[in-house]
Amino acid sequence: MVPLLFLLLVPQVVLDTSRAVPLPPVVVTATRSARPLTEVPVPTQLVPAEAIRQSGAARLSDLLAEQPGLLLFEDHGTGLMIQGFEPDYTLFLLDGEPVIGRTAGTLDLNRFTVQGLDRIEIVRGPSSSLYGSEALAGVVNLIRRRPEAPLAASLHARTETNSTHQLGTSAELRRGRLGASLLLDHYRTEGYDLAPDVFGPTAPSLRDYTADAYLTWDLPRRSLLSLALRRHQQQRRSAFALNGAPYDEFHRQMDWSLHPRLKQQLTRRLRLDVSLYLTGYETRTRMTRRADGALYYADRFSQAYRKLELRLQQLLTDRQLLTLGGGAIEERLEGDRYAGRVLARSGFLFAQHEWTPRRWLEVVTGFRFDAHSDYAGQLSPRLAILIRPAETYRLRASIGSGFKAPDFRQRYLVFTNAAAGYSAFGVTRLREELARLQAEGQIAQLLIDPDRVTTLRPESSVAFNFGGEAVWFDEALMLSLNLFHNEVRDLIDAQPVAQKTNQAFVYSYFNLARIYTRGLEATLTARPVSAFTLSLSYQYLETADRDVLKAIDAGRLYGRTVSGRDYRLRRSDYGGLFGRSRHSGTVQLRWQPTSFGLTVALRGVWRSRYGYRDVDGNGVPNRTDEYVPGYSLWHLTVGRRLGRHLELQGGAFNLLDLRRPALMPFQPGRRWFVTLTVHV
Amino acid sequence: MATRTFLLLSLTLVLLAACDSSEPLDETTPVEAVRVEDLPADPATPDPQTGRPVGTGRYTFFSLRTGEIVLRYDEPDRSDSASTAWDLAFQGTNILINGGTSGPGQGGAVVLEVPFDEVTEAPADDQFRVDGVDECPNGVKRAVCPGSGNGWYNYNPATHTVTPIPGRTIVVRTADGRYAKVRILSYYKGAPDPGAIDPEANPSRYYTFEYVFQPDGSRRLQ
Repeated sequence: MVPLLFLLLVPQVVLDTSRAVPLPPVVVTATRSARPLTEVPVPTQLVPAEAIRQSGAARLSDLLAEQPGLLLFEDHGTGLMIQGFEPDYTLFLLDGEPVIGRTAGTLDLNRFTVQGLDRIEIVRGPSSSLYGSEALAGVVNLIRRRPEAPLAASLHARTETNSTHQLGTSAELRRGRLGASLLLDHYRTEGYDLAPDVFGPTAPSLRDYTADAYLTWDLPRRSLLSLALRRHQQQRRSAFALNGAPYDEFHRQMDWSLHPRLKQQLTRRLRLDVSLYLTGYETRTRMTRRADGALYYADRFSQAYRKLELRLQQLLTDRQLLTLGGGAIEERLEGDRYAGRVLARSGFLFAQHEWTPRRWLEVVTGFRFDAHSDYAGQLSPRLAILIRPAETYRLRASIGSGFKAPDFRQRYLVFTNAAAGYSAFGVTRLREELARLQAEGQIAQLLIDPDRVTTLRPESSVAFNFGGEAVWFDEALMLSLNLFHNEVRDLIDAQPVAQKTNQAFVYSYFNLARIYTRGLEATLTARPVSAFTLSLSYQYLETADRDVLKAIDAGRLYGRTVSGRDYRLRRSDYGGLFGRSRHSGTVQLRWQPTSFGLTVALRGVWRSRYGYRDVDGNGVPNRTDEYVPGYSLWHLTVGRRLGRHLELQGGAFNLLDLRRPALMPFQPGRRWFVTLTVHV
Repeated sequence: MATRTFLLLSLTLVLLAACDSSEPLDETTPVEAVRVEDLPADPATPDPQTGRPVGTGRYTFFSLRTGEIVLRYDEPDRSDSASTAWDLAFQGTNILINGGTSGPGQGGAVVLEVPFDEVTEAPADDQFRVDGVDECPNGVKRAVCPGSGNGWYNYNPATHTVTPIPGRTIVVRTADGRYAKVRILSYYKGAPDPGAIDPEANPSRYYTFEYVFQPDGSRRLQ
């Protein structure tokens, strides 16, 4: 079925097989229809299986960190930053369905093994017109390998610095109409300690298990039934000292998903896609005093997400494809920080029209409407155009809107920090919890009238992306450019609403800030000979809080020097949003001499300084000591096939052993690794 | 006790250097900045029951006119709080003026978004705010508004630190109707660089600030 739609949509230029041009890879994330990568009207990046393997990375964090235009953002885990947005604003999909389980907005990329993936598709700019909430900065779609071989199995074993080991197996089977693939993966590390004089490790020891299965059944009349199952579990052990006494910390998280899906060709031109997606995520944290095992802190959290979606794709005349879809989502939440259970329901409708009015023109328009029980409905339109004046270059332009729903904390949190004494309440809980604290005599003063706290609006953006690609010398040289501007409003932030008698504050959440991120992404790929590929990428990024700019322009924002002198900030003194580097880039060098079965991949990641704290009390990065200095990381992987069944790979991440324990505790330094893969 | 002695000693020295009382003040005499170090504003001590840091909730009262503490937070006898002997009172991040609902004086204050050195004159009296009269953005009626970003400080929830907002100057009308300007330098004992606060060595609720008091009753603050 995919080929049918695909063939009908692919323009003649590509279909001219007499020219023996290899077909470009097909992607599905940008428009939710199968399209060649070169014919997608929004900026899309593909990490194919080969690149995944050649990087030598074990976890998704290492793999994505070296991709052009992507940066990591450390906050309660390793998250992804696309177009200058924090990890909360990027939607992660596993075969098209959302992955849940974020901590403080970050979906920890260390949770994912790269094993079993066929490819990763990364769409930049908002795709809320197709996917709804969270698809504001971009969408990352992890796509499983489909069972294709009659019978194949492989075993992989990997060892890395810091007693990090990975052991796994994958198998695939195809018999007539049935196909099955299975993945088992175990990853463990003993963590590391960058500050031996401080009690407790810098990174915890970790045990991680992933089991994943994918079953397909070709039914008569061009129907396809598939079932995807996944279970993942991770345990972390750590220790810390409090007032000189040692404490142990144990953290366990588990997530699972079940995804049956039916694709049914109703007529030659109409296809139905029914998808049920059930997923769950739970965590448990315990901190105990080592001396006597007394419980210091315990927390449980569980989240369940159910989604039913129906999608119709109708091929119209004149190369038009219409997609109509709708569905319902139910989310359940239970946890110590949420005081009981929470149930939220939402429904959505979306439509998309893909049209090729001329050979050189593609127009994709679409919108989605999300209605939710807890916050105002959201309409997300998008218009994207691809112009192909000649075979050697193409232009893309898109305008769209993205949104991110208020998260669970912002809506339902009921939390008091025992050590620091402060409290934070989600907006739906604020009134009753404040009344409770007042009745208990814990409130010294109200800083805001609780009646003025209303429901939250989703954070929303309007985004422009404009760019294109040009190829020269029979695709030996390729340049890809994209200019972007994201204007975001109603960003939600915590604000104190009351002060307690213990002087600590009570916080709740408000639609406050307006920000923008804008810049340029450029990638130059050269393949002078077929065995050698050099890819250079650069990103220029500007980010700012609109209210900060207003204060600077009004002359109301000051900095304080180390010697205590106050000075008026100019726009050029303002370092933008925290964690954003103005300049960043990647280098990828691949050498694959045909004769030795050898692969050499050298990659470099570079970023300029970025703000990480406020010292002088103005809330923005402006002083030198408020920045992490710029740095570069280099990774080398060498792989070699040994006969038909064996593959050996080795190398190092962070080859130059960059370490900054205080500023970058997440960077352990150089990590050597060796991987052996056995194919059966 | 040692702190107090040091405080008073340093104040005395600064004041001696600042105003020589033998010479009469006139228009041309520049007023000098006075620096007050580690004024204790109800520092928290761990609760013996829970271990949580708690304060007494009481204020430390300070006179800008004499440059001395009128009444410390840990003084059980609170009778001086109802007098016009003080101009500013400090407790945690709260600062009160001697006027309105806080005291019997003519006190008032206004937080200007102008750096200390550039404040040459006190604004007109209608700009001054009074405790219990003028409402803050968060609904509280206070001359120096409480809350992060509203008055003299920003609170950083990531590091749990209170930092004076650069470029903000508190212009104070004293209990007897004269004017002064105040710049808060630190909320932590020893006034460490805000990037290097050690919770052990630099406990919070110790104010270090500088101020200029105009004794001649004029608005001139330079």
